[in-house]
Amino acid sequence: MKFKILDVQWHIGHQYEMLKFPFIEWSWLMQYKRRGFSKSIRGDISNMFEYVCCYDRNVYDAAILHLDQDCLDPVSWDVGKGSVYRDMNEIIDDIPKIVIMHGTPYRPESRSPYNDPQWVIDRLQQILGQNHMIVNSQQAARQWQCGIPIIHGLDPMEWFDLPKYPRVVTTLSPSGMPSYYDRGFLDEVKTALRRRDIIHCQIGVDCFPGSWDEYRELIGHSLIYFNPTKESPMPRARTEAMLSGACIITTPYHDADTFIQNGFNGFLIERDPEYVADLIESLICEPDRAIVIGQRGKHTAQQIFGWERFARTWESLLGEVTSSHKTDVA
Amino acid sequence: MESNRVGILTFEQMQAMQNFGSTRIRALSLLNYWPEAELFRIGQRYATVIFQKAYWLEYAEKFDGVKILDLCDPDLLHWGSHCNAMADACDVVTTSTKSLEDIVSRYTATPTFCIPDRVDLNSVRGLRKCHSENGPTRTAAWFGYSMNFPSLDCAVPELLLHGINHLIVVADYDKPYWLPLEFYGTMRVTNYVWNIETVYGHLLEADIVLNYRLDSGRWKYKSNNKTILAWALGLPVAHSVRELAALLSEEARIQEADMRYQEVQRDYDVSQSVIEYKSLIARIMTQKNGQSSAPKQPGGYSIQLNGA
Repeated sequence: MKFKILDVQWHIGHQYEMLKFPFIEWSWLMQYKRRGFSKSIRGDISNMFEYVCCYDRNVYDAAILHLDQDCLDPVSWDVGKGSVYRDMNEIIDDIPKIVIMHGTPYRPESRSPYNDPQWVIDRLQQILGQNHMIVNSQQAARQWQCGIPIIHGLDPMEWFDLPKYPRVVTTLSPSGMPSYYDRGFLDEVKTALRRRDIIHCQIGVDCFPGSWDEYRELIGHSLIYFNPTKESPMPRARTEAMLSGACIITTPYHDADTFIQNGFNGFLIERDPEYVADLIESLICEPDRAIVIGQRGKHTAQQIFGWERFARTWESLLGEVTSSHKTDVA
Repeated sequence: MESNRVGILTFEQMQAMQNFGSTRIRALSLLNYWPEAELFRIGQRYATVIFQKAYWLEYAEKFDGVKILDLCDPDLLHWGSHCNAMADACDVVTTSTKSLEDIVSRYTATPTFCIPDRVDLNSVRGLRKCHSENGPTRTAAWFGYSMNFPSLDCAVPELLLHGINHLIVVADYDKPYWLPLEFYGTMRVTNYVWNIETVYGHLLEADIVLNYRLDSGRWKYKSNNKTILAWALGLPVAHSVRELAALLSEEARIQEADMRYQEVQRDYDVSQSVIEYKSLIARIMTQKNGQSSAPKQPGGYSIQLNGA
């Protein structure tokens, strides 16, 4: 028997892997804060769930809600993306709710007092109530002081390990949360590389793959993937690059230092743009070394970020949550 | 409650911003007189959804209850707004003016009705301008979005000509009004930032309100909502040079203000809009239940507003 789960569109890359769970029949609640998904992200996924206009009682076993730290800001809560959680949390009151927390309490660019991590943590506790919360890394769980880490999982067969070009890439949106993603670090590395006549490609800024295939080919042909993020809990794009055989150069945050052995299956770096540029230049000059390290990284990703483990963890969680809810109701 | 629950999805909600006049006038003020209605909530089951200048085509196409697209601007003139597709996907379109009703009805088979902008009279209860012993008209007020300042610019020469030497402007944040260069220094200008808590008090400092209209573009579709709000506060409104010239004395202001105050109480109480919406929704429900699968044809509906 399948679980009947109500979800809502939030993070297509993350949700795509969940939509493949064979033990769930998905309905997605229509919402207007996050407009229609782009087919260039994961192709046409519309046949993997059914849209519903409203919540109906006695239909679902559980609901999945989504949050990030910005949702907790009062304006976002009133009229922004936070209102998606607010409305769903109010209206769904008879089944267990699992909240996927996509971020961390770190939002220094916000106005006071909403930039204080303790305020963010306290606010989360207020709105979370009895809901179960999932986070994307062990560090995120420590930062929030709650939450069950479920590390993302991807199907390795869906990622293309292609002949490598002397190319270094980063997948990052054009703007938003500059400290969280440490966009300044990325810019400094790009500048340092340009001085070496190496032109870095920021996917989403310098180029825009027109389809998921184009994106996978771009990553698959890339020799090096650079991840500058400071707070992003377990960046999915880094995992995609690992599964594509790119040599990873990454900051050590959010558990990266638990699966990357510096110089063996990737590189852990400090915030030193010149060092990073030198490292990239040396790897481009020694592609065989970069490819070997990339292959070890790919093997690591296959072990740690496998979809089967991801699916089993969710199945187990749903079983526990729904059965304990039934016990409570009885 | 479930069977007649109404959700109003507002322009503010869609834009994730606050303090839009159209949402206040066409959605929030109605909620005070409509217990079955609420601001749209994601996940809630509704019998009726009113899309107040809110273009959510995917939902409109999926939702099987009563769907009303409410327009206060000629958004169909913007190619990217999905206004036309939304109009086609809804059961009826309501508009704030007859002129808007006219242009919209030329582009959709969906029945289109004007439900005019009205005033929540309770929001101005107890606030009424006293003109007695104030003497000739000396202070004029203008309020609205700063993008409409051109309509104020064209009134300035006449204000000076008629001895009006103080202009109060209530507009959006960080956009003070400056007199046109050639009139700089010729009259006192007081700028206030628009705020729902203070705007009425600022307007009551004036003897009259200016609401000149321009002929171009969107102006021909704009409603008289600023005028009726001023009338509800007991303030006469000049829409043109000629009307301004007729409102220069205390006696003229008192006479005009009294007449318009009665008119607002009679014709522009927002609870009347709620009655019209309820009537419209009831008729659509009857129609839908009777002709569930019949295609929509121009003139194919016989829906009438009360009194229309």
